[in-house]
Amino acid sequence: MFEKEFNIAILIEKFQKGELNNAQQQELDAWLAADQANKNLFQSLMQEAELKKKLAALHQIDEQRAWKKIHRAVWKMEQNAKKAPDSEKGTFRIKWVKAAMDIAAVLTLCVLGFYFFQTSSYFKPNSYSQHSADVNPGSTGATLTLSDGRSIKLQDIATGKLAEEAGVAISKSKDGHLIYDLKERDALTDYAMNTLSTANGETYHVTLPDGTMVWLNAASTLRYPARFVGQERRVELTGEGYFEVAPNQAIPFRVETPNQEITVLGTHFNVNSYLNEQVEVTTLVEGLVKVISGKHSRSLRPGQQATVAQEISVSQADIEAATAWKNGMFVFNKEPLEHIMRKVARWYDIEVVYDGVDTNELYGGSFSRYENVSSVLRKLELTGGIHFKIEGRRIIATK
Amino acid sequence: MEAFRKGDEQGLAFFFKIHYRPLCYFVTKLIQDEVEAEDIVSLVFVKLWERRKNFESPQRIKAFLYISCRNASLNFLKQLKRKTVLQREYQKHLELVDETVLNHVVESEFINSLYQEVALLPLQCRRVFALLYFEGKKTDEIADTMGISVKTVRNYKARAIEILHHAFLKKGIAEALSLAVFIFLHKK
Repeated sequence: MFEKEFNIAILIEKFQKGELNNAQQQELDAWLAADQANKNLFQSLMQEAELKKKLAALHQIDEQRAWKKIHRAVWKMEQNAKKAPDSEKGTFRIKWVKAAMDIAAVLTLCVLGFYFFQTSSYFKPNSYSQHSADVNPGSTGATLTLSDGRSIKLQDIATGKLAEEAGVAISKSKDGHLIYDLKERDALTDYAMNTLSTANGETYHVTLPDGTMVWLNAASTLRYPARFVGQERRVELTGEGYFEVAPNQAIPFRVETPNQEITVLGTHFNVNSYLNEQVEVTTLVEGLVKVISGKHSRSLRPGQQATVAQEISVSQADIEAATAWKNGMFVFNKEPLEHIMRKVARWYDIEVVYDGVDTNELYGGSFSRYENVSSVLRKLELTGGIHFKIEGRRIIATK
Repeated sequence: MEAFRKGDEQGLAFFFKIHYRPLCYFVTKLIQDEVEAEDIVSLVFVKLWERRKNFESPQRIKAFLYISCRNASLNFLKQLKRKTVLQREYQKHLELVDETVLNHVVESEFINSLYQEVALLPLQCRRVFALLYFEGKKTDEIADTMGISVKTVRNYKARAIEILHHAFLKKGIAEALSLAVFIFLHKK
């Protein structure tokens, strides 16, 4: 319905950049001629002062607050959808709900009865939960987006050279990791930003143009220039990454996450900055880093970690636990169940539902990440007090 | 797009990041109430999520979002018991002249295309840019407010100029930059 208007906005933008071709210029002129109001709008959009005011208005808008609301509403919807007898989402549901209001009541009773019946079998002394299906662990994979917008699925592509940006050759090595190789000596000022993104269940390893190595955990994104230019080496991270930074005293390495900025002088450290976790945690293995968030800044010694929420608090770290993922392990050290299950969910690309279980209860243990999810869950069950049931890509935790 | 339809929330986040701000701007222009606008647009996004399987392309999603926001805004105005003078005027205008709504769409989309450039700036860089460009703060004030060094602020400014394409955005902060240099030289 508003297609024409969307197009006019694009034309005006091109006009400002001086990129209009003849046909487009004519289209814009036609729109301007059609109505005085159009001319007035156009003129106001060409004035810097007006533009600045409007941009400021746009800038004031609080995205975070709205997103939290939306996220919560969506989450509630998904929870309700799961409780419904027929959890098949999509167009079916709309018709179904309208037509079957009465039947729903009866069916719900039946379903509850069925569940109750099932759980009683769990009280048998030697039975572990019956797993009707199992879920494979995550694997090596990621999507690389080049500066021109092209995106490449790294697991599908063959080894060898993938592309070249800003005089840097990008290739996939035999062991399945991404390497940036400086080919041309002269520094270009072109900002070729690349984005490496992993989905749930994926992990990848990249060597940046300065030799820094980054391991990305599941559901994470790293944004960086194809070539580092200038007084600093800067990358952006959402999710979790383990960094081994190539030393360079003159040009500090900086990692920017939604809530903090970490300055590094050549070290090994882990950053955990998922959007659906309350805090961001940076753990230093070796070397020296400084963490800045808003007005706060703290320096870390090896073995320490910085937890960033409203402020930064520094504490002793369990290095093994924080970096276990990179070595193919899960190590949980007295962590709340919910926290553990979120990590499991990201790696196995599943969802977890809690049925009468205290999600704050602490659990511990260490397991390989490369086993199927049933082995991990079975080990957690051995600690007692919890049972898991796997239904396709959903795990139900019960007492 | 595929991920969104399948139910991956990151897909919704993608469309949210692009369209939320201009939609709020658009709705605010229609109903003159920023707080209500946030609610209206948020609800529309939830509605989008409910119907995610029905959309074949990002263009359809964009059209849906704007149309839903427009309808929700008109409903809101109709239901207002106590209308301010401005809102009453506006409603009269809306009912008579559809063109105004169309122009608001053009404006919202255009301003957003400029703003998306600002959104591209990394976090701290964006904060510096905002203090500089929108609030007209000086380098040392910015350094103070953010708890960073003056040198770092200048680095961020330079970086912003490198990343931004739009001439007037660059000029907007470059001016402040050259002024600072001028004063510095002058002081010597």
